[in-house]
Amino acid sequence: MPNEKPKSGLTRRGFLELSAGTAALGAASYLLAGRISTLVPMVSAADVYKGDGWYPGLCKMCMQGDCVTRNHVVNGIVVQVEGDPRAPNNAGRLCPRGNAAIMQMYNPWRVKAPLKRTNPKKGLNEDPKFVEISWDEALQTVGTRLAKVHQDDPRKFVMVSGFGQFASYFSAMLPFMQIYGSPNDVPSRGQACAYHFFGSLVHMAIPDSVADMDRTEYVINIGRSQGPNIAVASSGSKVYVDAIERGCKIITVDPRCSPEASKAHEWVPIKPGTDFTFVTSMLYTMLYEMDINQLDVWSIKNRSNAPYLIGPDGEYVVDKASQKPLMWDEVEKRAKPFDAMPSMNAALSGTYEVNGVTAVPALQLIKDSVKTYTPEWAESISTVPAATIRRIANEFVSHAKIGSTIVIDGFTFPFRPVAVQVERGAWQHPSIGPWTDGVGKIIQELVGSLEVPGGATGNFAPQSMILSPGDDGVKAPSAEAVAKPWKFPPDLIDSHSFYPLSHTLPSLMAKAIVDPKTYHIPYEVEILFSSGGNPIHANFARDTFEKMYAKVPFSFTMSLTLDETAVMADIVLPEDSFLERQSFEFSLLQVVQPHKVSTASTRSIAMFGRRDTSKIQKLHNTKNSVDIMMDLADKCGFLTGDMGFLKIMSLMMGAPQLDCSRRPTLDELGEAILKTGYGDEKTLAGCTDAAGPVYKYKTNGKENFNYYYWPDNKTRFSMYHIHPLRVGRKLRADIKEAGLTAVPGWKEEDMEFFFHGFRATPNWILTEELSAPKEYDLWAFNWKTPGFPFYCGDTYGNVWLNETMKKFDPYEFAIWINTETAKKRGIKDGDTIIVESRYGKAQGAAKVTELVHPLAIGVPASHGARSTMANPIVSDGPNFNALCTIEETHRAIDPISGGIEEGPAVKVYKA
Amino acid sequence: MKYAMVIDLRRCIGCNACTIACKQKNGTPVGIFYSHVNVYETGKYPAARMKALPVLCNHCDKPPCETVCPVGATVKQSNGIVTVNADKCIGCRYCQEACPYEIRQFVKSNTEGYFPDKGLTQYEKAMYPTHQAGTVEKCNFCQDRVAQGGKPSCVQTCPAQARFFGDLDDPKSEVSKLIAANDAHTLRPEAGTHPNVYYIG
Repeated sequence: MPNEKPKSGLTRRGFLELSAGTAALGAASYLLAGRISTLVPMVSAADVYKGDGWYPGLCKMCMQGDCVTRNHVVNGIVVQVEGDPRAPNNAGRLCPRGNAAIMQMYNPWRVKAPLKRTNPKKGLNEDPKFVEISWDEALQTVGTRLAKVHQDDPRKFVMVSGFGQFASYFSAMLPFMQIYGSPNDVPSRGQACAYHFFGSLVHMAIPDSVADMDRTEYVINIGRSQGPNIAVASSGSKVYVDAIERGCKIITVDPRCSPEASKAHEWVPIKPGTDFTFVTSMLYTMLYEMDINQLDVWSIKNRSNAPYLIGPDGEYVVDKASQKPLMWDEVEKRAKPFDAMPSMNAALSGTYEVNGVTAVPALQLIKDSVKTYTPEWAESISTVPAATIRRIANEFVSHAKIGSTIVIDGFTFPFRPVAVQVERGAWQHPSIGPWTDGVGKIIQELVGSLEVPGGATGNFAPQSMILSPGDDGVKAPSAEAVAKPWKFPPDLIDSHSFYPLSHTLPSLMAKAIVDPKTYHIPYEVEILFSSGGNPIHANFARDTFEKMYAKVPFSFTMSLTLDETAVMADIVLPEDSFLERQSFEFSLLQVVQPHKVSTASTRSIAMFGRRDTSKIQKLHNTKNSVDIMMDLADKCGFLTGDMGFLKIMSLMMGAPQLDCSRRPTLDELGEAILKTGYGDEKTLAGCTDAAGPVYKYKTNGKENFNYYYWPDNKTRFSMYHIHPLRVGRKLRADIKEAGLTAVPGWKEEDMEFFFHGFRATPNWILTEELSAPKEYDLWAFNWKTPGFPFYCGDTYGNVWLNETMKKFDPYEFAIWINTETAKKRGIKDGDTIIVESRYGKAQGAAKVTELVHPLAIGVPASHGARSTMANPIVSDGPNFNALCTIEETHRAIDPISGGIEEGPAVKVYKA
Repeated sequence: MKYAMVIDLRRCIGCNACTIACKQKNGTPVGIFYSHVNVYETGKYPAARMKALPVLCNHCDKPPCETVCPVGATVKQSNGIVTVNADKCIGCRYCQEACPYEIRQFVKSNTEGYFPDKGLTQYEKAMYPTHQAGTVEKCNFCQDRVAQGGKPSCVQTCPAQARFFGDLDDPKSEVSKLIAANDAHTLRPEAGTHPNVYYIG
């Protein structure tokens, strides 16, 4: 290849002058491309895009998607993306992905125009033989199909969406589905990361609970990567190291020593899938080896249902007149309604005769349930030394500073600077996974550290409704703790009725579409619409998803690249790269206002994600997803009207004043949202780089902690988790009434395992993978890396991310194996090895390391699988997903959360 | 005026955000990285720890790259930044041999991109001509940004805020204070080049 020196020594200024001409040339040839599908308005691109400027933007390389950016645009080309130093959450910072955004946009593997498949045979190894068509033809084809199914049976239209289009999902896709009348909104993602139930139940901590990082002093992270994971730059990493710097002790319980565990006070290596034993033995230590007065008795009695009397049926014993749960008043020696007595008089132990039944305070039942879960028992299963568990339990209690207070804004709060955060790594194991968090909540309630300064505050923006109690005085189940209603035969394609407390169930959707009879689906799906995610890649059992897409008569996608989901489609609608997405975008902050990091700069923040793309030359014949949804609503005949798409969308976007009699431009939409949220004087044009980010704090000071809204005994947390017990009982009854002997797909003899987690107190059970045949003597596990936490953003196809991590991080595209474990198998660093579960294999280079538990095999991210039309770099690295199964016959689906078992038993050998 | 950098290894999480920030700031071609992070480990299980060491040009007080350059392309400026004039560079690569940190980068080609079968993208066409094939390049502490009062891109982008930049001649600067208050060290001091990138932790 000839090496070309430019004719003159090119300085950056010289480049600007030269490239003005080059850009003009480039733009002209783009305009003269000749094909109908790529025609754009005949303006001089050089005139529109000439110049050098900085424009506001918002990153969308992960779920959080709220890092405010400044984009440097020169003659229509984005030449740099950096964090905006004025944004309170990321303050100029940007993670490796945010820094790689340019390569998402300037990626020749992108879909450049609407495509139509001409090969009727669909398969992951089939050439779809796409041809380019016009937007008119594409939308007409899709619209005609949608209109037909709408008339016939809207349930037959299934939408599958992911984080890449999170903003449009809430603002445009959900309204579309609502008006269309299809209940089948099935996220493409989530079954590999299903950890929301207990947080939702206890304190509406959705997506998760986070410690008050400004004040906390002792945090136990279990199966959680805090910092370099999601929200890496949006305060996550900074507050993590800040906390350590000021002396906060962070204990990381994890099979691997991650970058954050390496900085933590302590890494506690643990065998994958056994975290339940760690927390329950901590609970044992607190209830059996400590005096009750070492715990927060005031909080237990006033702010939990621990003193509530429980009858032999596991239900509250209630006052006959008011139906209110009773507590035993130790002073008056009788049972009284919870709100009719001083809570400090309530008994926490003992047996009482009430209303003709034997009643026991809930805490007694909780204590009884863990009586054999000693630290020695936990050690025998988890390998964590009993002494370590005891020590940590004691440290946790002493660091909780029980009895201490803090005054914020003149209001006195309990101050409890400890937290237990249980996330994906611990959750993704049927039955005992969710209960690891369920017990984590109990532990925190015993020291009174939920929802107070220093403790675990839940990351939803603080507001009065969050901890509001039901009639029973306990914070009512909310968010994902609200059981989906039962209906049989189901309307929902994803069997949510059978998993009423679950997060997402795309795998069950796939199975039900392929085999509707087994799943009792009374219709056949006619249309699949996928956007913002790639369910074939992001889940497990690619062959099942392949069958699903092959079977459904028509599928269309909104795609950035020709990934697996696009390759299976009939019509591919090309979407803008997020750098090109015009006007605005919602981040997680704006939609539900939580943040992965709870700190002064992020708590209760609301932001308007301005994107000024006016000077960015769009590369291809792509569209904004909101525009596409408006097009489709128009084709279906419900764009306008009193309860039309525009009306619903405007309400869900927070722009009720929008004129819904006509289709708005994206800028009009953006401005309507901006004015509603930030004042009538605001204009989109005013949101310039010079003006800086647009944000506000919805609450301040004392209002930033939910305790403020429901102090003292005004609300109580679920410690005795009666809700899953009730949901389970109802589910059993519903199934029986439907004439079924098992949940679809499950064997009858496994139904006791199925219902095991639907209980009020913790109980250990051996999972499928922990009782695998002995030849599978190791356990694989997975985690998100800072470079590749999600499929979102086409991280796997990003050449900068790929090159950088391949070159400089030997832990990314590799299979982690402990040094001693490797030695016993004759495996050396760099050897190609195979990891084999009972369901599949993953192959890759061994990273022989001291950083992983001897019984654990670490396979990071979701590398190693691509479509036939994707950049080959997407298949670099080992593929963890191949090791797991979605089969009910292997008890691989957690009945509470819907999560898939991610600790498969494996064997490892050289290739 | 002597610009210097301090990197707090206690804070660095080894994510390589700085590596990619530098790459996009400078629009470097395939394989060219002015700055990167070495990710490695120390210790024995269970006392092992993952470590990260960000490295870049040290803008040494006595830069051997300047000494050995036969054409005076590499120059230590009065503000301490060591720069390379691509117009003068003849690509002899003697400076790469001389650098104890192996941090200088030889640009083989400015026409080969990241998508070999698909040609250069518009971004690559815009940026690669700013690199002269057959010359050696390296970090210049983002001198254009610094000249306008800003920070190098790697410093601004760091998610953990582990990098600091400033004037070592000013005792009140952040870098001076950090070095004074901590046990800061440099890499390969035995090479005698007096580097100006300091590490804490």
